[in-house]
Amino acid sequence: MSVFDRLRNKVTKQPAFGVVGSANAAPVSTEPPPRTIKPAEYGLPTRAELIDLPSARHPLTTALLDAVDRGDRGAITAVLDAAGTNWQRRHALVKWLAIRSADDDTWLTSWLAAEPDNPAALTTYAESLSDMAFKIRTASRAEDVSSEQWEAFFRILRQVPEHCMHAAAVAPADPTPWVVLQQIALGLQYDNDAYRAVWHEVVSREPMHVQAHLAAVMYWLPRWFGSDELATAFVDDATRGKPAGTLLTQVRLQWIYFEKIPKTGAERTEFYHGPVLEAALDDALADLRAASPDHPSYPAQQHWLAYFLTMAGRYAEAYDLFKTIGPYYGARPWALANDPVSRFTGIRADAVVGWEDAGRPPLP
Amino acid sequence: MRRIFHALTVVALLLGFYVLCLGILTALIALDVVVTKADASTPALGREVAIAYLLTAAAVYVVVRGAFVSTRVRHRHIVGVMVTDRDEPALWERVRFLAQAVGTRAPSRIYLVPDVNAAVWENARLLGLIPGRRSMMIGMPLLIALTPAQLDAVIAHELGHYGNRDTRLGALDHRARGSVTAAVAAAQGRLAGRRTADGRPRRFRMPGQTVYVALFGAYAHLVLSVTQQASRRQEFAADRVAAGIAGQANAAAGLRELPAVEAAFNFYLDRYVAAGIERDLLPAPGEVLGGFARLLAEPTRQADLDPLRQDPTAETPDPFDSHPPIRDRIAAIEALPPDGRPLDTSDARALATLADPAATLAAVGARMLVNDGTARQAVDWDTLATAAGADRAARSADPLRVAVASFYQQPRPLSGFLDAVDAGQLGEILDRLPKSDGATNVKASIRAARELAKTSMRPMAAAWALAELAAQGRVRWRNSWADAGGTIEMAPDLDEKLQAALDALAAIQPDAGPMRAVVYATGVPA
Repeated sequence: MSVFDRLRNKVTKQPAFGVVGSANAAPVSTEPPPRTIKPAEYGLPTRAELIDLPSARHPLTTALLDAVDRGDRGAITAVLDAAGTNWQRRHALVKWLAIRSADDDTWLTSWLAAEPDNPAALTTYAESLSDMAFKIRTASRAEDVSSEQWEAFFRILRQVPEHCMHAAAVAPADPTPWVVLQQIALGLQYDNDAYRAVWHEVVSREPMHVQAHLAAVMYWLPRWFGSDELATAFVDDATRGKPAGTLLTQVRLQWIYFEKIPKTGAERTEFYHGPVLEAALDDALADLRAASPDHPSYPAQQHWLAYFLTMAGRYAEAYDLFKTIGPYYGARPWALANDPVSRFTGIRADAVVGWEDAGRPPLP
Repeated sequence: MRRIFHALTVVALLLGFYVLCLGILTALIALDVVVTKADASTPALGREVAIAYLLTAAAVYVVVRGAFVSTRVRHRHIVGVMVTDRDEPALWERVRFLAQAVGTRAPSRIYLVPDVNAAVWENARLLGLIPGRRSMMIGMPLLIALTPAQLDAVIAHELGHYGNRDTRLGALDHRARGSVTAAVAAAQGRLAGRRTADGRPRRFRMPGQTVYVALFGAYAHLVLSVTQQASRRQEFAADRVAAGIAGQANAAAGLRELPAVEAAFNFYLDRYVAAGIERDLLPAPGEVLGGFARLLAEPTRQADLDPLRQDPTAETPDPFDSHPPIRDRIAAIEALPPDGRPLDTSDARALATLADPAATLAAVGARMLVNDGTARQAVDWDTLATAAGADRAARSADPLRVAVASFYQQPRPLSGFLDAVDAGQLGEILDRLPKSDGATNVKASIRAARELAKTSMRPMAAAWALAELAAQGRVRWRNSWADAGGTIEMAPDLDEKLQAALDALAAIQPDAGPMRAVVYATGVPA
């Protein structure tokens, strides 16, 4: 990769949590280059001020990472206990621990050696190994993955379930080990029945687990181990009868992004302005309004909505969300692009420009 | 009429060669005379005179040697066994019958050689103008691989070069080509059999030699291109003679078989006979060639050779080789009107013509092995396979061994590697392994890179363990004619334990204990 490739923004970025099989996910617009804006004029942070995080760090996350840096195992456990039975928060914290161990896991392995039955240590270790395996595989299409990568991928993943099971045995009420196992089940190519068995363990402990649903919908896609009918059924099931504020409408948005957007230009424009997306967006907005900003999947919902509202031409709502989002761009769908910053600023500019063109309608 | 004109041209060229040589010598002597005269009048020319005399002496040597070389292939230069008609009556009777059918003299000597070759040559004199004693060599691999009818075709073709059909004119071309090529080689100091201690052809460098060699080379080129057309025609004619005697189908089949036999024999020598050469191990004399028969008897190998038979393509075009491509020769034979003679598809091989095939195989095989005087031990095929297998395993493990040596700053055996793993330092060793192409695609942390490297480490560790076990005698390889690598033999539970030990080495938390237990069963490293 030469200097020129970098200048032409051809750097391929590896997505954060191992998005598999989505090399061509985002259809790129073939319209003329969008007009740009001066962010400051609209109360938006400039490109230089952007931060590669989904949102401002949750205080528990900050406390957790400080504890890791200090090497204070007691504090780590205390933070996790503070999350209590907020399983989704606990899952988010475990993911942060795993990210922190990506380059150097000595603190994690010594923690595990010192406390071999600590479910948090075990789950973190399992998640860390799973992350590493998917990073080795990379997000490339299957045919572009070398046999060396495949062998390492499967070899590592095969060694992980025992840690998940160990954690589950010690902390039976916690769905987190099962959520970690879910991702491994995808990697190890569990058949549908085996996957459902793992899924059942998750939802019997936390039926509204957004991240678990998002992982599962990928499994049920036709390109993975499901089919169009199975995926549709899963999404309908995930959203039906769930109270507003659970943020499960995010599952439909993600599914639409990966599966439902037409490839060709004219059909795509039609879809973006069509009833299917409109209904999904209305539901998702209502869901967001009813949700607590403390919900771990709240920022992700904002980002999905900001994207889709812009594409759907609902510029006032989109601009409003961008203002709330502020400088944070480290989330989907921007993270799936080759150049997340540009994708974020580009769509953001589209929203503002569209809002201007529409005569600056009042914001919600 | 045209043929007589052509023959006269060739004779003229050959005689002209001597004229050329004489001309060079005369010119040089004339130069000497001039220089001597000049020296007599001007004493300071002493050095130039010496140079002139030296040049002349050199020229005499080179030119005379080139001019009077014979295509005599010395008896002692032939690697093989000479067989008289007392030794091999059936073979001799066959050759005489074929010579008569072709319409030419039978050879007076037959040699059995360990090459994929069949040839008839004469110790001709004066660049082929005067015919001499005729000899023939037949390759043992051909006797092993060809049916009697196919061998008949091959021998008839060679004899056909001297056939009466074309009378001496055809033979003249053949001799001439052989002679001028030999003359050039002689001028270069490269005669058959003269080799230095390490097998390279010895070259005598005389002053001005390159000039003469260039001259001879150009002349030879001239002769060869003049005779090329005729020679090609003669090749096809010889093939027609062969087809007439052995039957069209057998002649074509014989030609198809030649590249297959050549490929098979080269493969056999390289992968089987030479397998133990680094350890100074060789097959027993009787088996050196006997093994080739066994290789050819293996059905999978016959299947491997079929593509070569169907499509004989790969030919290295030698400008001095008058043989047309085998494909063209086969096509020419198959274009002949069908003669209704059946193809010999039996299992009979020409080898059965010999009086005592086993003894002859052993005798020729023994000639193959006498070379540079290194003491080599004759062993059975299984021992060779084990030696080769152990060497191959050791070589596969080289990158890992090198990485371990780099880590310790000195070479260490397998136990050293295991010690490092026990000390939690497998990662440092993995860092030292060469990066595969796939690894560069993965922009991963050190941790992930090491996990990835375990994939290539595993087979190397396996090979290292195998080499170690082979040295202990707990793993053997059995020779397999179907598979040059041989088939590995070890106790079944040993294989299972080895796989489990490798899994433990490649695990996320590596453990060298199981491998130590497998390889050093007594617990004491070698």
